[in-house]
Parts: sequence; C-alpha cells; structure tokens
Amino acid sequence: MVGYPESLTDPSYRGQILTFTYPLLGNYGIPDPAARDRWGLPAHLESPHVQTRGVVVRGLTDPSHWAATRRLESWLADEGVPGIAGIDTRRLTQHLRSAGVLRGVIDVRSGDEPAVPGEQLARQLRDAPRYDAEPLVEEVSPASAAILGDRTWPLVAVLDCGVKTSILRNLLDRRLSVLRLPFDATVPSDVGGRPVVGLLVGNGPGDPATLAATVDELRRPSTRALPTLGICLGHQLLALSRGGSTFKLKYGHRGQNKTVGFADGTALIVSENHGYAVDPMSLSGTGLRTWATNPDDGTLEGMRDTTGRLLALQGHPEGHPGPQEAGFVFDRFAQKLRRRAS
Amino acid sequence: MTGGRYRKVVVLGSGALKIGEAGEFDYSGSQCLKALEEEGVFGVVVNPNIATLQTDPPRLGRVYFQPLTPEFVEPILAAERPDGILLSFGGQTALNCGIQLADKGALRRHKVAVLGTPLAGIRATEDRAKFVEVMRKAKVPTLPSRAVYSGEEAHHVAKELGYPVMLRVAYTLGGKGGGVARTPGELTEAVERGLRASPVKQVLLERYVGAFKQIEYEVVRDRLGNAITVCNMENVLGMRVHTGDNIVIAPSQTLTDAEYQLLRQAALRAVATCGIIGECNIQFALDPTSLEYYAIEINARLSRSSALASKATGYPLAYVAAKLALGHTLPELKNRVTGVTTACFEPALDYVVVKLPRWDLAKFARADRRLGPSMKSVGETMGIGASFPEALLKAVRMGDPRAELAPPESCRPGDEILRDLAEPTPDVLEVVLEALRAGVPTERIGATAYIDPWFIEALRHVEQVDARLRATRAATPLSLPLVREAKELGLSDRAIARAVRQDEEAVRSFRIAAGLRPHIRMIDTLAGEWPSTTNYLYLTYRGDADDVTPGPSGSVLVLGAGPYRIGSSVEFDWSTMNLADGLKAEGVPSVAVLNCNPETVSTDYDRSDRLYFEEITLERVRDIVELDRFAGVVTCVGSQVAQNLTPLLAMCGIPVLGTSPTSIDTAEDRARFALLLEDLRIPQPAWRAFTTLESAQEFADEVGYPVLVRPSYVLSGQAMRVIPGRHDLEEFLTRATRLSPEHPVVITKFIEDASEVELDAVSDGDQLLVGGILEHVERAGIHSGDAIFCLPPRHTSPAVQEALVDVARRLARALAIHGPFNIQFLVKDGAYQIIELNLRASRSLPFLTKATGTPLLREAARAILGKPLRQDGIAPLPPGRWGVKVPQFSFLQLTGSDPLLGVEMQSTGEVACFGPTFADALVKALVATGVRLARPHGSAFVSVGGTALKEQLLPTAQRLAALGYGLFATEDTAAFLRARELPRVTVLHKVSEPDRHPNVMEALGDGRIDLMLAVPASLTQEKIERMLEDEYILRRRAVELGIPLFTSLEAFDAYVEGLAWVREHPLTVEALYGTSGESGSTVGPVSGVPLVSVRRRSRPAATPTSSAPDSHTRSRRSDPP
Repeated sequence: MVGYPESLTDPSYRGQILTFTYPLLGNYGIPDPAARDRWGLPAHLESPHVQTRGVVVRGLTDPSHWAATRRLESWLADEGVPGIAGIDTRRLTQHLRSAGVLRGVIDVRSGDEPAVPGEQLARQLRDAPRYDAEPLVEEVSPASAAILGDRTWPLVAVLDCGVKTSILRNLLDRRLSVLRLPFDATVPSDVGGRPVVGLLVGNGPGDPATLAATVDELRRPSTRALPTLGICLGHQLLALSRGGSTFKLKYGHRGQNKTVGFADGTALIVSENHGYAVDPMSLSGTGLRTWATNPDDGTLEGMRDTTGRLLALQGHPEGHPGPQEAGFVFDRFAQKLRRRAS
Repeated sequence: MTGGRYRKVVVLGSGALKIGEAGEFDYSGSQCLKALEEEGVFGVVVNPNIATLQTDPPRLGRVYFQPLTPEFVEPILAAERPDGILLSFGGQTALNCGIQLADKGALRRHKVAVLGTPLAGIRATEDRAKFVEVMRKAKVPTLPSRAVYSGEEAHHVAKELGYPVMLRVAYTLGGKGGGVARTPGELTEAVERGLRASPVKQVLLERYVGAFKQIEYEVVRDRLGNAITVCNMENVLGMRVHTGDNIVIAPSQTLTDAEYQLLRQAALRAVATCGIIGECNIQFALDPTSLEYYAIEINARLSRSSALASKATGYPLAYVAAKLALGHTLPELKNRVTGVTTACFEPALDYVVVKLPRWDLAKFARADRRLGPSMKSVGETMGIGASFPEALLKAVRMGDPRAELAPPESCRPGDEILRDLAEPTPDVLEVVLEALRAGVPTERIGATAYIDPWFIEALRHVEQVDARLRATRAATPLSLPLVREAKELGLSDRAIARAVRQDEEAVRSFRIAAGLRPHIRMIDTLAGEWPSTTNYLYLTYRGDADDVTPGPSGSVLVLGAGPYRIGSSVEFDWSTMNLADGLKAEGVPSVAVLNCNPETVSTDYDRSDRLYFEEITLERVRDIVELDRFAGVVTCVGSQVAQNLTPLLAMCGIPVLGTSPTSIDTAEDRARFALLLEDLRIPQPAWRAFTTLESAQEFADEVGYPVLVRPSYVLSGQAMRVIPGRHDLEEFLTRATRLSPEHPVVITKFIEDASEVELDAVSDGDQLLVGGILEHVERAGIHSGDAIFCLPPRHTSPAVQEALVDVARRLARALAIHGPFNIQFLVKDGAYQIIELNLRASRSLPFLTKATGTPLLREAARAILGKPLRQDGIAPLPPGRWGVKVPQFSFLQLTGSDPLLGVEMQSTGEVACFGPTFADALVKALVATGVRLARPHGSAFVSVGGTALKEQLLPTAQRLAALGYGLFATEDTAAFLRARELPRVTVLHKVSEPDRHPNVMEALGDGRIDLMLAVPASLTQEKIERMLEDEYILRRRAVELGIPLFTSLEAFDAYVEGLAWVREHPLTVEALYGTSGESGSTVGPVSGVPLVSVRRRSRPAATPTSSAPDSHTRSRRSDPP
C-alpha cells in the first residue's frame, strides 16, 4: 500500500513484471531520484534505477507530497520501464496464486500505432528468455569493489548480488564500514591493512542455485570463519554453501506483512520478496539450525549455525518498504563485530 | 494454552448509545462473548442497553440490565464471584467504571483480576501527566503544553509554543471556554474567557496542530509482546476535526513508506511501553510538510476506530483482543478469514474504505454546526471501493439513500466559498466541489480546509466527470466510455441521469445492455494472495470478474438499517440479526445480510451466510439480487430505510417477503389508511392533507388548536411540529416548509392531555402474538423515542388494553400482516384513537422480547416465510416484573443545543432496567442514563406556566416537600405554592432580570439547585420572545451542569416517585436471564439467580449521585475515537 519507489528500485525485482495488489499507485509521487546521502547512496531509493521490467497497476492517482519531485509514470518513462494501468489486479493475483508465477508481455505503443496482434505477442512471450536463465545478478552487481564509511569503523564485506541501499545504510548507521564487492569476488582478509571483520550477503534477483561462484566463495574456510549475516538471497546462498538445498515457491512471498515465527512463541512482521526458499529438511547435518519459520506454509524464515557466527533470515530486517522490527539483527551483528574488533 | 485458567468473567458494556459512544460496542462486546463461549468461559454481561445483541439470552452466561457504576457492579461481583473482569469492550464507560471499582478496592475485595491490559497500562493512557512520561520513555514525542494562570503568563508561553495555540480549560463541561487563538489579541480574549470558566482558574495552552495530518493505528499486542498494527487510517479533514466527525480513509493515502513506518514503529514502542495486552488505538499528528510528529492519545480499549478497522480489513479485532486477554498469544490464533494462516499478520487491502459520519444536527434546535475538536455525529457509514471517489460516493448514499455528492448547479463567489471552507460543517464535501467548480485553485482549497491536495484532486475528477455528463445533450445517446468512467468513480445511475437530464431507468438499461455492471469482490485480509472462503462482500466497477457465484436457490437477502442516526439505531441491527437467525432456524438455505454501518454486529462477516457491505439503495439492491439470484428480500427489520424500498423493489419485480407491499402502502398512505380505519370503525384523530395555507388554516380553526403538522412518510418526526395557534401555523407553513401539490402537509388535531400507548405484535395474517402494551410516562406530544415508557401499563385499563389488542387483530387480518408491526395509540378518558401503524419491526421490539422472554422475531421469521405462528395471544410478562425504558440524550455533547423535548426525536439511545416495582426499575434506568438522584435535603427549581399546570404540579411539589426538599420557583409559581401552604419556597428571579436577586442563574452556578422542572411556556400560552430565551438558557445551563432536567410534569412526577422509593427501599440488582450454574446446561430465563441489594446507607440516594455524572465530566474522554 506504501513503498512503491522502494519496491520498484529493489534489485531483487530485476527482470520481473511487478503487479501491485493495492488499487491506487503514485499517490505521493516519487522523491528526488537523484538525491544522494553522505555516502553517495540513493537517498530515497533502493538502487539508482527502476529494476522491474514492467509495472501493472489498477489505478494511478495524482500525486501530492512535500517530498515528491515527479509523477510515478513520468519517472518510469524516463527509466524506460513500461507500465500498464486499468488492469483488474485482484483477478491477476488470483490467477498467479493458482497458476504460479507466469511470464507476461506488455504491448507498449503510442496512441496512433496499431495494436500488436495477440498471436504475435504470444510468440514474443514464448521466445523471450526464461527468467531463471537470465544473468540477472550480473546486471545488478557492481563491476568493481568500493569502500563506504569512515576509515576508523570496523570493515564489513558485502557480497553484492544486488543489495538494497537500506541494507548498506543499516550497516553504516551502526558505524560499520562497507566493502562492497561484486557477487563473484573473493572476500579479502584485509584492505590496505584494514581487516575485514564480518560478512553480509544480501538480497538479489533470481535462482540461488545458479550462483555457483558466490556459493563457492562462501564455502572458503577464511570466508566461512567470518561473522556472517545473510538476508533474503544471502540466506539461500549460505544454506547452499553449507550443503542445504533450495526450491522455487509457487508464487513466492512478496509483501510487507509476512510473519516470521520463532520457537519460543514469539513472532515478527517483516517485509519479504523472494521466489525461492531453503528446504528446512536439507539443513540436517549442515551445522545450520532453524531459527524461524513461516507459520502459514512452514517454509524456512531464518537459520543460524551452531557456532553463533552465522545468522541469516529470509525476510528483510531493513524494511524499506515495510516493518523494521527485525532491525535488531543489525544491532546484534554490529555488537558481534565490535567485540571481535576490540 | 489458557487451559481453563478462567472460569467466569464479567464483561462491562457501554450502556446507552450516546454521541461518542455508540453501537460499536455492541459489536466489540458480542465478539468478546463469542470468544469467551469458545473457551468455555461463563460470561456475565452488565449492560443496561436493551437494544443490543450482546444482551440477548446467552448460551453460556448471565445478563444484568444495570447501571455501569461501581455501586451496581460491585454487588454483581459479590454475587457472581467471577475470576476476571474485562473492561476494554464497553468503551470509556466500562473503562471508567473499572477504574472506579479498582479505586474503591472492589476488585481486590472480590478477588477479581483485570484481564487484558493491566490497570497500570490503562492509567498510563488516561492520565495526561503519566501519558507524557510513558511516551518519553518510549521515545515518542508528545505535543508540548503548559498550564497558565494569567494572561501575562499565557502570552509568554504562547510566544514559546508559537501561534496558533490551542486553549483547553481544565474541569469544565463540554470543553467550554476552550478554542484556538491565532494572534496575541485573540489570546488575550480567549484566556480571559477561559480563566473565568475554569473553577481552578487554570488554562492549558498547547501548540495548535489543526493543519497536521491526523493518522491513527490500530495495534494488537499479546502477553509475550508480539505486536501488529492491523490497520492505519487517515483523517481527510486533518487534526482540526475530531476523528469521530472526520472523513476517514483506510489505509492512509498520502503517507510514504518512511512516514508510515515512522509512525508504525512509534505506535509499537508506545503500546509496548504502556503494557497493552489486547487492542488499542493510537492517534498521531503528522506535519504535512516534514517528518515532525506527535502522539496525541492512546485508547487502551476497543473503540469506534477499532470497529472501523475490523470492518475495513476483515480482521476481527475484538474477538482477537478477548482471546489475548484470556492468555492466548497472537501466533497461536488463526486468521478467521483463511482458517489456515496465522492471526499474527498485518492485513493487506486491495481496496480502500471511506468512513463518513452521519450527523443529525438539523434535529437539534440551536446546535452549533461547525466541526471541531468535539464530536457531534451520531453514526457513520463505510464505503468500500477501488478508489477514494468510488468509496466516498458510496458512503454518501449509505448515509442517506436520497443523497448524492455532486457539484452545485450554481456557485457562490470564491470568497464566500472559502469562508465556508475555513469553518467546515457537515457540508464540507459539497463546498469543496463547489470550490472546484468555481475554479478555486487546489492549493487554496487545501490550505483553507486543511485537506491534502490528493483528496481534492480526486474530488476534481468527480467534478469534471459531472461537468462532462452535463455537457451531453439531452437527446443524444450516452457515451459508454463516459458512463463507464462515471460508474468507476462511484456515481449512481441516478446521479448520471440527473446530470444528463434523462430518466434513471434509461441510464440503467443503457449500461446493462452494454454489459456494464459491478462485480462482487471479497474482503479476504490478504489481497487475494491466499484462497479464502469468506462471505464478506462488496461491489465495485473496477473489476472484471466476480469472486463468488450465486448462493443456493431459495436464498434470502435481509436489508439492514444503515447508519445509526436519531430515530434508527442499534435496535434495528438487533432486529436484522434476530430475523436473519430466525430465517436460518426455519430452514432458509442461505441468509445474506445487506448493511453499510461499520459499528454493527450485522456487518460482522461470520454472523450471516453472506454479508454485503453495500448501499441500501434501489440500484444496489437490484444489482445484488440480479447477481446473487436471491429468492426474496426482507425489508421489515431495517427501519424506515429498508421499508422505503419495499414499493420500489416490488415494482422491479423483486419478491419482498412478509407483509405485501400493497398493505405497507395502505398503512403509509394517510388517505388510504384513514379509509381502512373508517371501514374497520377504528377511531382516529381528525386530520386532512393540505396544499394551501388557507385551507389548512380553515381546518385548524374548525378542529381547534393545537394541531400537529407533518409531511407523509415520516422518519422519527422530521419536520413534525405541534402548532399552538393560528399565527404560528402561518409562520411554519410559509417559512419551514414548502406547500405544493407534490408536497402536501398533513394536519392532525392534537389531543391535549392524552396518554400515548404502543402495541408491538407479530402476525401470520390470522393469528396474533402481542409482545406487549407499552405506556408512555409523558403525555402525548413527546416523540415515542424520547418518552420514558413502562411495562406493564400503569394507567391503561384492562378494558382499553383488550380493545387495543382487538384493533391489532383486526388490522392484522385486514392487511394480511405477515411479520412484525407496531401501533401507536392515544388514550384519554377510557377512549382510544390510533395515530400510527408501522408494518415493520419497531424500536420497542427488543425491549418487549427481552422483558417477556418471547422471541418475537423468531416467530416473525415463520410468518414471513408463510408458516403459521406457534403462539397466539399476549406474550406473558413474568409476574412481579416491571420494565422501564429511559431515553439517553446527548445534549451536552452538542454545544448550544436546546434540551427541550417535543415531537421531533432527539435521543441518541436508550436503556431499560427491570425490578419488582415501577419505581425500582425507573430509578435504575435513570441512573443508567446519567441522571443524578437529587441529594437529600437539596432543592428543586420548578417553573410551570398557567394555573392548570400549577394545580397539576401541586401533589408532586407536596411530595417533594414531604421528602425534605426545598423548592425554588419563579415569582408566579412561588406565589401559587406558598398560597397552598408549602414550606421552604424561595423565589428566584428570571434569567432576563440579572439585577434582581436571588437570581436563578446564581443559584444554578452555586450548586444550590439539584433538580429542575421547566415546562415550556410555548405549549401553554402565547409565545414571548424573551421568555423563550430565558427558558432556553435555563435548560441549557442545567444540562451543562449535569442537573436533572425535566420538561414534562409526568416525567418529573415519576422521578419524584423514584426519590421517595429509594428513601425507603434498597434497589435490586438481579440478572434478567442466563444459563444456570456455569455448565451452561439450560438456556433461557432462570429463576434462582441470586438477588442482591444495593446496601442502604444513611443517605441512600447519595451513592448514585456521586458517581453517575463522572463519565460526563470528562469531556475529552466522553467522545473517544
């Protein structure tokens, strides 16, 4: 219902057509997409650009907000991302619910161009590359490494498969420096004498099983020895690196109202966006233990290892959009690193 | 998990419906009882509100119709020995009562635990200083405020806070003396006024944030600290207008994710720090131009907002809150919509809801129409749609099926429009549309009315589509894309027809031929993401498919009553559900309910097979019947709103079940009804319909004044008036009404000094089951909704009663009545006349059903389905039982309103209490509506005009004197009383003679008057302007000071009888019915319920005196969201 600028720029949505169930979009426009924070990260967005391949909404509205600098649809146009309004998105959601995630095509044309015949659209759809065959992570991962944050802060390596700005900002806000690495990079033990004291593997698009290089890196003993926080795709990659397995969900968990249940009877509301999940049965013998589950379908929502070094969760503790109650995992991670650093 | 931790729990209700505390608590209490029953917990309900569903005979528990004050609740705790008490399901009334019980040590004495939020948490939200402290701990900002004691100090503080500043005056009633000061000049004046009004000479200054957004969150939290926000809501009119009077949209529309989460996280912190267990509402003020925000208040209980949030999301907040109070945790509970997923989640909406208040300010003489910090509306509707306009326009028609929200035909000058926008009234939306049509820029409208431009732009769309429709030439065919756009925006066929100057039916046929129809959508809490089987439905034009297929053949649709308003309230929700349950019990395969009032039990989706949360308009009922293929529609339980559709539905070929539309028309058409009465030789007052003033005057001269003047098809006495003389008739007919052949006025001879009697019954066309005969305490001339009435009748002779039953039987047969009906009679000197026949469920039906224990609407369901009644005759009243119904007024909440009773209904609710005598039941019912019992040796002020009335007053005055009360009276009345040798009679001079002492205003102000009788002069003699003004000021002042006020001699006399009774007898506290023991083995009324008595003290009447007005003195809290 809120958070469309964040969702549309979330690299995890790379390559997807995103359908919004809430019937009104664009209410508060788009905050300045060019605004940057003190670290040079997009101030309001989860990456510098719209990541989805298309947007489906029921209704668009006239924006009103003090922080808005433009309309949603004109921003999408500038970003070269097509959208379609006037669709019965509830019906589409119900269809996706029973059929599972589908491939779609949006016929984009200006008003005087003739409509593309249906058969042609169907053919184009058939010929389009498969979602899980596309190198989506390569598209959203940085080409080279970069360091953010103050020199005096402990340094955390981030294997960037398309990590959201807010995850990085959560580290920086806790006075942790970030070593942002391409997804297939090797995690160095230090950078110019500054030791890497922790590792974060964040979110990203696509099937985790296709990211062999990242999984291999996570298996490497020195990398494995680092206190590690996994989020979303990172959660899945860490499971794979320890011998677990993942599978594709029928239509994924996407939304800001997902429940994460813990063994002691407590639960948290988190934001989620994932189409794949870790098979909890595959964790036996890996040294990983279930930390949290989804009470609705029993899927794995979090895991930790027996040494206390690794904690990973399927949801998004950083919110943006969505709840931030799970933000305490960043606090714990930061405490762990500081203890280790000192 | 709870493992039988609790065996028996007391649930406090909220008493009578009043402004700020209405039927939403029937919804929350009923859900709570459902949760208790599921857990096998015996529920003891204390609630004098006779018209509620929560006080129906329980399956497991007992029901007490008693005042919600510690004096009456403690004996119940002593007798019932419960282990827990629930305070959060009965509004502020229950919370206040619980706090007082705790303060008096009653909870400790009887070892009763407060379930849910502990008392410390409740106090943290109730006490301003504690609230600020707790919010500081939670790192949630609150509005800076400071107490000042002088003008000089005020200017200093105001400078610090920044203008404008809000003034609140401590310890005054109804927020008197408060307000907003925008400049130092205004402040000087306001502080002076405020200090004068404050008994402690203190004024609270607060930063004024009227232009801020008003955002609310509904938070649920369990004992482990698991917490969710079920819903957030945005108030379209910002902070300036009380949320109860605001247009509310859910979810919020103008907040970004950052803002939404900023407030959401603050809400969770605040609620955790208060230690809430269960449900609460938190309200924030958010700067529309930055991230600055403040927590305004927390309601640590179910509220109007939580009822709205429940209906807006499909999340059963009260049910879940009750389960949490019993010790369950959120993750343990299932989402009742899907039946599979957890209740520990936040609903996702794929629609918007708009709540629109229903005001009835026109019913209140002199009431201030401006909307502001204190609530004035009496009910609300909730429109559901795919856009703000669709949901809003629906809500408008839900509030009044005749209404449309459209720009005016012609616009006033811009500055006049802006002046109206600066002081919003209930017409604010029309004024915004007018401003748009007049070309006032959006920013200007927004800045003046404190409305976010987003909402104004959405309204602009409505204005533009209306303009484009109007541009359609009358003869040309309609444009399908334009009509589609209009329908998607929520315009009705009628609104389109008006704009294009065509017939409504033509528009309907056009769109149906084009395949343009609404689709049925389900509210499933998860935006379609999980399969669900709920039956909670609405219709929208922005959809391509229906979520449901038609129900089984033979399904029936029951029309509800729409929003609570003066004249149609929770009693019709009771009727709707009792009838729906009756139909189900009689084997109807599927019973659907149509209603649009979020404060009701009938809009709880698991109470019926299908719930249509939709407009009760002809267009929408036709849509629904066509889509769902109902076999029939029931219109006789949803008040006049549903009844008015009867002839129209019949014309469209939709079967109306029950009494035939022809019979209903006969009863509602005065001329036809009069002919029928003549045929049946049933007496009626002389009357005639007129279209010209001259003929009206001629008739009135002939039958003699006073006369009753009214339009046909009346709802709760609207525009009805008793006219004392020729001059007044002319004035009323020329000024207050329009006389024309289409709008005739009916004039009836008004019979003075007659008593009014009502009869409620059910018939199957042959047999007759009479619920009872109710006698009004006041003489005819007071609307039946405002009268006190009692059962059995005190003065109506058995012979007359027999005659009335005979009339009912003859009418039932003549009109082939199949279902409930109500007859109103005048009785004088052993003769009777019929004044009204309503062929539908009446306001008094719940009272009679409960008093007699006879399920009248179960029988009505049989009759409606064409089956014979199982009972014939008069429902027996248990021997020795008296029942008294007393109306609840909300004059205090309506600044300036005149508390004078008349033929226009003004009460907002009612209670009924039972006892072994009339006086016992009456006193309890009066106390339950907040009427104080005058302290012993106190004084009464009496003012009546004319010798005849003075003579009638004499026995009552003597009785008062004998009880030891002193008498104050105006000169004439005092002289009369002294002449009759009454002791202790003191003259008080009039309001308009402030220089003459002792003056009545001084006596009032000094607290020397404990009781007031002020019979208006207008009924007894010619009007004199100043005298009327004097009377008004007296009445108003009495209301503001909480002094019992009577404007009729009979009600005053009954009150004095009650005073005499309590002097000699303890009041009884007894359950009306319930299951015996705690096993729940027997159902229905039981004897053997412990009878306990309120202990008589040395000053017996003092107990209720000290407690009753408390809930009224806390003005901020008496109108919670």
